[in-house]
Amino acid sequence: MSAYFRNIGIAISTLWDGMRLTWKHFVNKKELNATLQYPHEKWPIPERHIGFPEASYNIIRSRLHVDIDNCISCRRCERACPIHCIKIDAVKAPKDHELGQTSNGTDKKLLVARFDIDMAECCWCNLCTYDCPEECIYMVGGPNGKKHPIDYEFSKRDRNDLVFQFATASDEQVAEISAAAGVADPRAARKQRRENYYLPDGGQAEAVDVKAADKADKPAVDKPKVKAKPAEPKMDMSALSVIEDRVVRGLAKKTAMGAVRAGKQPVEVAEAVKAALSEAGKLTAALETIIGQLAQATITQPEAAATEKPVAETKAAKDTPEGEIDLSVLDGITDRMARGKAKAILNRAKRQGGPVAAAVDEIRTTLSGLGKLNSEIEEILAKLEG
Amino acid sequence: MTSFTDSLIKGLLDLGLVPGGSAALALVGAVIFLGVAVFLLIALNALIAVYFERKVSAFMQDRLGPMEAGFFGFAGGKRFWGGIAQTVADALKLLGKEDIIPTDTDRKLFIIAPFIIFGAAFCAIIGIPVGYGLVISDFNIGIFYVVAISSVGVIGIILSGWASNNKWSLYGAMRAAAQIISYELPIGMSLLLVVMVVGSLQFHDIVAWQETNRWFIIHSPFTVIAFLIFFLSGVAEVNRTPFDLPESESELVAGFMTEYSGFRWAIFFLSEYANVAVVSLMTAIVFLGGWLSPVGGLLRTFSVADGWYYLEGPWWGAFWISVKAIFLIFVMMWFRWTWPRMRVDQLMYTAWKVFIPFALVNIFLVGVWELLFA
Repeated sequence: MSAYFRNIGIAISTLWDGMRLTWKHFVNKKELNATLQYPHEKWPIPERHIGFPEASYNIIRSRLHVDIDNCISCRRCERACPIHCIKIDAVKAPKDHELGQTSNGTDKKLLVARFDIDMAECCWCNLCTYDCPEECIYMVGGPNGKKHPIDYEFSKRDRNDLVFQFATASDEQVAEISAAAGVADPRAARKQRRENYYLPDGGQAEAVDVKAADKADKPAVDKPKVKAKPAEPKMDMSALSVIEDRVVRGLAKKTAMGAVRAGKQPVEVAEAVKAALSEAGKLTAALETIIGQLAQATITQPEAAATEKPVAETKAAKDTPEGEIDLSVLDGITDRMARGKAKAILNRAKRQGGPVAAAVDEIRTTLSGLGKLNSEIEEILAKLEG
Repeated sequence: MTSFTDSLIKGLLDLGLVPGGSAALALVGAVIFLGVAVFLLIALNALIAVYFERKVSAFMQDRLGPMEAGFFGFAGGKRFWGGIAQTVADALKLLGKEDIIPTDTDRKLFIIAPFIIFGAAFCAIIGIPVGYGLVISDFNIGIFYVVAISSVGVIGIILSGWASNNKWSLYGAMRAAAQIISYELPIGMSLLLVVMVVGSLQFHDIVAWQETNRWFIIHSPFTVIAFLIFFLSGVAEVNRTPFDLPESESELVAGFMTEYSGFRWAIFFLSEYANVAVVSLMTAIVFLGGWLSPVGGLLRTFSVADGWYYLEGPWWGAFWISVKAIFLIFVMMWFRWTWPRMRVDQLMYTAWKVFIPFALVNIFLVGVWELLFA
């Protein structure tokens, strides 16, 4: 019986203890509440001390930011991006339009009509930032903390809001400059493309290749020409393919290739292969006959022009019809600054169709004004006049 | 004694709003009007009580609870009413949900079960006064009526559990049946003691007795015990923690409500909070002086004026009974967020071996007390 009452007593006292505890929490909610009300409250970004200076590492890649005022629209980032999440439209401004300079002092020649980065697609590889000549596209965070506050969340209500639009050029500006330059307004082209792609009734037009269209209506910007690989002499090495041992075959082909590149004759090539194989202890009688066949093969020499002529010269030669000024003559000038100035003056003369003599005179006066005129330049200019 | 129904019928007849002056038509009109009013009151009660419950539980667990959905300037974040529209939004969501009736259910029973539970809660509220004369229908056997009609709800619980054709639901329903049968007894016995002292089953008489004498909770040491037994058994009657075995969500998913969703589930919720209100109001009336002002007695000794200064009268009465009921609802929430759920055997032990013997002895001792001191 006493156990019964003790039981009830314990029950009441423990229940009361529990209620006291919850009451304490109920009245002290402000002090005891540890939850951060996230969208309304945010933790401060902690100071970072990981043992070495901040500028020497870049581990925070929070999001891409573009200082659009510094962008020269070279599109290197767009090309570097492995997933094509950067989309740039540029309009080449005509001569009389000044677009200003970047903070590095580079003249801006292209108007950035569109600079969109879809951060939903971005893979944070950071490759675009290495290519930028003006260092105007960079990952927010890390050593860039000085350039831009760390935006570590950039959460958005709508997926489409993750497409960050950096271009600041107004519609009027783009329209005006494209009209002046005589090229299609990239915005209009884009709109047209969207209309082509999405039919009014919501269905999709058939077989409209958006990517191809995207490429097609990029404004006319000169793409840098890919330099051709210097051609190499080639030799028919199919004779070696009958060798069964993979290691031996590989070694033989490698040696033969090296010898051909070194400009050796087929017989010498065969000798070199034999030497290499005997050194490796793999030479047998059967192999010797196979390699002997190699000596009969012919070596195809590449076109002499392709290897010997510098690329620029071929281009210039191609671009210069009869009676026109050949800018490549000026390439002989060693001083970079002098060469640049001279070329600029000559190029303008070429475009305006002015006389060469006047241009040469102008080059002379300009360069002498800069104190760059020397006998080498005089010689080249004389050649140009003659 | 006039009730709302009487006044409304009289008013309708006096104003000539009833065609032909028929008393029967006036009664129908009054019943429809008051029925809708009570339904709205129950819905409002559930909205506010759910919000209150969520806030109280949050604060007791060092959280903040709903604080994003607000309206009419109440979007106050961390303040208590910061998320008041949350329950409104939840209610709208529930009403907009698909009405799912599982294939293998007993369709008819499944559909009517929540309405039986709701009907019981609804009918119980009819008989409870919230002030002097502020009652829908003033029964002269009020206590008996409320206790009897609120027990009807268990039929709905058993029906819903059985009709769901689901093991969790059936377990929940069986537990509910055992639990409510067990806890009816201590409730009846603790009320019996009050009825014995007052000599009436009518709520108005009980409050009148407390007005002339003293509140029952301080009437004698035995009535304190009766109060505790009644209130705790009441918590068990409405299936709230620590007695929420019928729906114990950690073992039975949602007990007898497992298969319900949308509007029907909302009806269960309305009933639960209506029952909570009924138990709180009953406790307030029977043990805590009902609509009597707790400050009236004190102020009377200082003040010369009567009436307003005592904070008495029908509407102040409604205010005081609300304060008492809300306090008791808060205590129920306090229980819920403090105490762990009991085992089935502990539940039975508490009812049959603790509450019922104590209540029986109590009746005897109160009788002795009345003989000696009254």
